[in-house]
Amino acid sequence: MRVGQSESFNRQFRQRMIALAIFASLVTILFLIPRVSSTAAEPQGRNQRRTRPRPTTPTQAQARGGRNYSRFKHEDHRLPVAKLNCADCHAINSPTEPDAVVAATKPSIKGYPYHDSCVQCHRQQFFKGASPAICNVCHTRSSPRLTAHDMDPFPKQGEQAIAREFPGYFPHSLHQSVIARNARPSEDSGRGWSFARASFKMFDDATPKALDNCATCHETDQRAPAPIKVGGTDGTYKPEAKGTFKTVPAGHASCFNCHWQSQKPTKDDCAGCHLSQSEYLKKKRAASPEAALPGVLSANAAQWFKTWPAEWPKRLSIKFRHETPNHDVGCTTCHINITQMETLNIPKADVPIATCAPCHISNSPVLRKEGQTLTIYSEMSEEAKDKDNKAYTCIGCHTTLIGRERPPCSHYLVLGQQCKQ
Amino acid sequence: MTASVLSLLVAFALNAQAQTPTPSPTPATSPAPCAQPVACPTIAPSVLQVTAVWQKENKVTQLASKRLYLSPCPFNLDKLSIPGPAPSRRNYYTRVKASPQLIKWLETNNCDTVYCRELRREEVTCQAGEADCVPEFTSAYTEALRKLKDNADLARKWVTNYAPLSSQELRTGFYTAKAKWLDAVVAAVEKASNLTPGTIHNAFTNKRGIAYFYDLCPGVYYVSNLAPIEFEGEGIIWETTAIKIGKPDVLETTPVSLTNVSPKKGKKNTFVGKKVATTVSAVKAVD
Repeated sequence: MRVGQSESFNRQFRQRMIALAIFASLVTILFLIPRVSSTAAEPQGRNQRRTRPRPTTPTQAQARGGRNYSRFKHEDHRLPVAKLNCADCHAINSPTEPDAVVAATKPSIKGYPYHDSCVQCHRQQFFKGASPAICNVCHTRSSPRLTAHDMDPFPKQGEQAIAREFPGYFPHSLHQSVIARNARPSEDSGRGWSFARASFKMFDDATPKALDNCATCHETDQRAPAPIKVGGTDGTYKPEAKGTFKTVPAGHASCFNCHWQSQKPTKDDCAGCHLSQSEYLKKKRAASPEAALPGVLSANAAQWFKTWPAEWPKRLSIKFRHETPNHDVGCTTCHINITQMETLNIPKADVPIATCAPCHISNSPVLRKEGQTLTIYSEMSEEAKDKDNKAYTCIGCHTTLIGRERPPCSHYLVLGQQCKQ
Repeated sequence: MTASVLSLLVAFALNAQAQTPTPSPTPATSPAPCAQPVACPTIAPSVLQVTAVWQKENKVTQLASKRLYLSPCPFNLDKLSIPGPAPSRRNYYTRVKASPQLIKWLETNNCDTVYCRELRREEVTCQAGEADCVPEFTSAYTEALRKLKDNADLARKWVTNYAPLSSQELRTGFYTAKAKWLDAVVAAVEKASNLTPGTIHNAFTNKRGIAYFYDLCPGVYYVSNLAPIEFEGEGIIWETTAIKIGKPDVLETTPVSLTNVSPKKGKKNTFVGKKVATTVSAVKAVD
């Protein structure tokens, strides 16, 4: 009897244990499946405790022979590699916030595109393991427990910075012609208008300033002068007064006045202005076959600009102040290449000495202080005598660091000489 | 009735002699080929300073934002086979059915396109029927206000994005047509003179009506504006004779004046333009 009871108890116990095991397995499976899918579709808002997954490093991914999905390249996601448009992932929806880029499929999300833009092609990478490397494209780490607080800054900095990955393309020549105001209007019309972003006082049409189309985008920089590191050294130069520099447009607002929805490229055509490096170089070559390519500077110039603060424009002749009296002659008088150049990064936008020479060759000094009266002719004459380039430093327009270098070929023209270099 | 017929006849007569350079009815005789400029360093020491002015009753207007062309050979525009007359502002905008008020606004402000300046508040809020009120501006502004949730300032600044100003013909059509015509003429001049494409340079006059051509080698040069400059209802075209540039000892600027009135005797490098009519009758233009 006792034996019979024991056998029955054992059978029941086994059955219960099997049922419990099946139940536990089911629970485990049911618990795990939604967690895995949620890592891809909804990284935000999950608060369950979990062991911290080990991140997959790019080296590990590459070592395994696969692509490194933790790094995103726009080049791989646009024509001709992929049949995608910028607007498939990005959008700018609000006219009042022209620089707020939102996710094309979920406009409430600012910055990076939302998951569904990526998951269409990258489903496999999204659901790969507990810490998919692809998370790192937008998020600070690879984890299924990511939230909106774990986002990298947008746009991404470093090597993927917009300026490097998408050099801006702006055809100055085209804009100069299209917005050209041909001549001074008759005196009874148009009093008091001004350009959209000009910082000048309201223009009086009788003044030639009203005809300066450049002022639409390039205002006088009103910031107080600050010491600027020059020459890749600790040496600094502080401009004498405000008005040394002009500003450049800082966002989309300057463009959307005209390019919001009708005049191409419009807000949905990011690639109309933000070119890939290869397209940019192609355009640049087409516009000016002799022009230096972006980033190609002489060794000295590269050194000069090495520690130049990003907030101030790079300039070789830093002593020139745009607001110098009697220099209101119109931008293209000195920036002679502007109206012929297509790209934003204009290698020939620098002011050639020939444009200064008509006035400053010998009559009007470029520097009249510190006990000196210097003209371009006087400086270049002294420089030409300095055979080993050790004694004379040009200081009329340049800081001493730049002025002690051998001048470029163009400067010898002032003396009617050809380049010695 | 008689007056209308007469005015039409006058308009057609004007049209016949307008639009310089006139396309040749017969195949053009090619001008004598001109030698390419002699080889000289990329950076050369001479500068040509060209000033374009318009004089009327002792009032001198500097012609700003005008494109001038420089060639080492004579342009010989009257002998060239040119693809039709240069597009004229009034003709173009009449053809695309712009309102007379818009055409007047463009002419008064000396603009080729509606982009040339930001509109003032009163220009977009005026009532139809008011003098000089441009209907395209007010309609586009109303549309902009609707789309931009009554943001008046933004609507005024972005007005060209909205209909009817958003139509390509009104926005940039004239510029495109003119640019196309100029490109064709430059190519024709280069071909006729046997010049390598790209030899003819151009420069834009600044707000003082001055254009500079830099890095010129010693030699002979010619300047023209190719398309008539339209100013105060008249058109003018310059085609200079030879301008000599010598071999200077130091960097040298050679001044050149383009004007519409005869200069004092003996004034060097001053050229008087040829007046051309720039308007034709609306009937003809629309057709």
